[in-house]
Amino acid sequence: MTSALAVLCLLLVLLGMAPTCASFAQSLIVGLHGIRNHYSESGPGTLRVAFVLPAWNEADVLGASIDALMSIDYPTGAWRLYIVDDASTDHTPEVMRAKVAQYPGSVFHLRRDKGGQGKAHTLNHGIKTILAEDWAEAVMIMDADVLFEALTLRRMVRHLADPKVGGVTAYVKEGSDPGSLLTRFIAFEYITAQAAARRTQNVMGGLACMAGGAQLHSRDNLIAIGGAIDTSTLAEDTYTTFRTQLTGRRVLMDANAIVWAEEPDSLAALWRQRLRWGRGNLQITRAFAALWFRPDRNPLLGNWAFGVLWFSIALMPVFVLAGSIGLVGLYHLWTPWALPTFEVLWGVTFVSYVFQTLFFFAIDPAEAKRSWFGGIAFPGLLSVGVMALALLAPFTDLAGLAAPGRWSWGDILAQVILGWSAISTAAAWGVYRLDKAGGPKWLRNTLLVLVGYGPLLCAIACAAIVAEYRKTDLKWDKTIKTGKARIRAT
Amino acid sequence: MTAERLFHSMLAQDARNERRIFWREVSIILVVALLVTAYLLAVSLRLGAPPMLRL
Repeated sequence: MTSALAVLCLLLVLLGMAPTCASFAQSLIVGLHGIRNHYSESGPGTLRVAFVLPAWNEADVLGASIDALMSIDYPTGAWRLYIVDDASTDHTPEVMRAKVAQYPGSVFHLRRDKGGQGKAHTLNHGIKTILAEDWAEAVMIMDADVLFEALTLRRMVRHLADPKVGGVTAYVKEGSDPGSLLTRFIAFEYITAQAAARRTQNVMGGLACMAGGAQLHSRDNLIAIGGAIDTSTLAEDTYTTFRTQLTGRRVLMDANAIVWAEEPDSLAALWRQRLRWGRGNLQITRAFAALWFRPDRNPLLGNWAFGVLWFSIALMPVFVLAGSIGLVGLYHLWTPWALPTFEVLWGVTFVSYVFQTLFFFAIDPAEAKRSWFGGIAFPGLLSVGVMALALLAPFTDLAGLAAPGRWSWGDILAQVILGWSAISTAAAWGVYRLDKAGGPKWLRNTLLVLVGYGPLLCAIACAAIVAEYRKTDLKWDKTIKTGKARIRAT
Repeated sequence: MTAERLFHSMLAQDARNERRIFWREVSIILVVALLVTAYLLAVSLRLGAPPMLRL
């Protein structure tokens, strides 16, 4: 019986390694984008593009976004901006009217009388108007705070020269100025989740999500997916990405097409935003349940590699918990195996951490210069300490420090270290609660550096699973933007 | 610059960037692989076998 349980614990540890191994494997493929990309099939066309910008109380950010758009390098008259005011109650309508007057023929103002239903409904109001006219050959969905670099639109449009491509997304970079520790963590996260992960997905052929802040669709594609954005989930951008690929069109990301956005500067705001994303992803998981691990249904989204990558993120807390339970269980049931298993688990994590941190810095050196500390402290300095312990274990007598069954400080410490993955996730939740309760920023930052941004994301994913399980109200919770984003030199 | 020339210049620049990332990745893989080999060698010298095979 004990042996069976110990084997089960070993299997749990292997399960716990899944997200690390998946993200490591994913990052190993990134470089292949240098060989296998879509550039050779792109073309020099200049399509007529209609930007649709949903705005609900965006007076602080709207002016800068529109001004940045006016500086893009794209023929005048070949693009238009439709701002959809979602019955804003701030000065958004005044800002819009001023911009319409300032840029006649380029900026159009649409207004919904009944607002507050969320971004997808607002977008659909604009898309319906755009598709009712036959002017637009492509539609760019953007966020109110997003700033386009001069050549971003050209870089995205070139891919639509290939009729097999239905949608193109850009690399959204964190542009808050002044930045903070939190925005630097996010900046590094975006190198990993966008610049790296989406290059890999380009190579594999199937994209998980076109960023909602910069999503270019061919007109044909928008019509093929029903002429509207899905309103049933909290992840309308991911849903649209899936639908596009299921209709047989390709979706890709141009990592050299850059837009800048303002990201949350408080843990409470970050938590709300990511909880929405996490719940949205779980809803997508359910909505496309028939697709997972079924390459016969769709060779891109149904293949095993895509499924493993998807679930290793959507269900990350489950894997983390499994790994920790497995290690602590082994410690009690089959003690001689606990330390070597710990060494392998955290040793692999360390190799993955070193490789990914170095490589992600190399992918975007300009961003790395600004957010290098966010990269180093991403898993948390305490986790880095646990990795170091695992590496040094063969050279020390750690096994002699504690023995299960005899409660001592050494014994407790051993279990904390073995269960650190799950404990750090709980600790990250504690840091969030501290910030929400108005705790001092220096304390929040210190604890965040120690506990890590990665565990914080894991804690949010856990909260998303709980919220979905409890069927908590599906409410569109907008992230407040203050107009801090700037375009930086790259 | 004409649209055609701009397209080709952007394409060349972006393709170069992608190739640069490829070669950076190859270099980093080599460095990390070297470090891992050195570590495993040190562990083997100390213990006589890799950690999982020690029991």
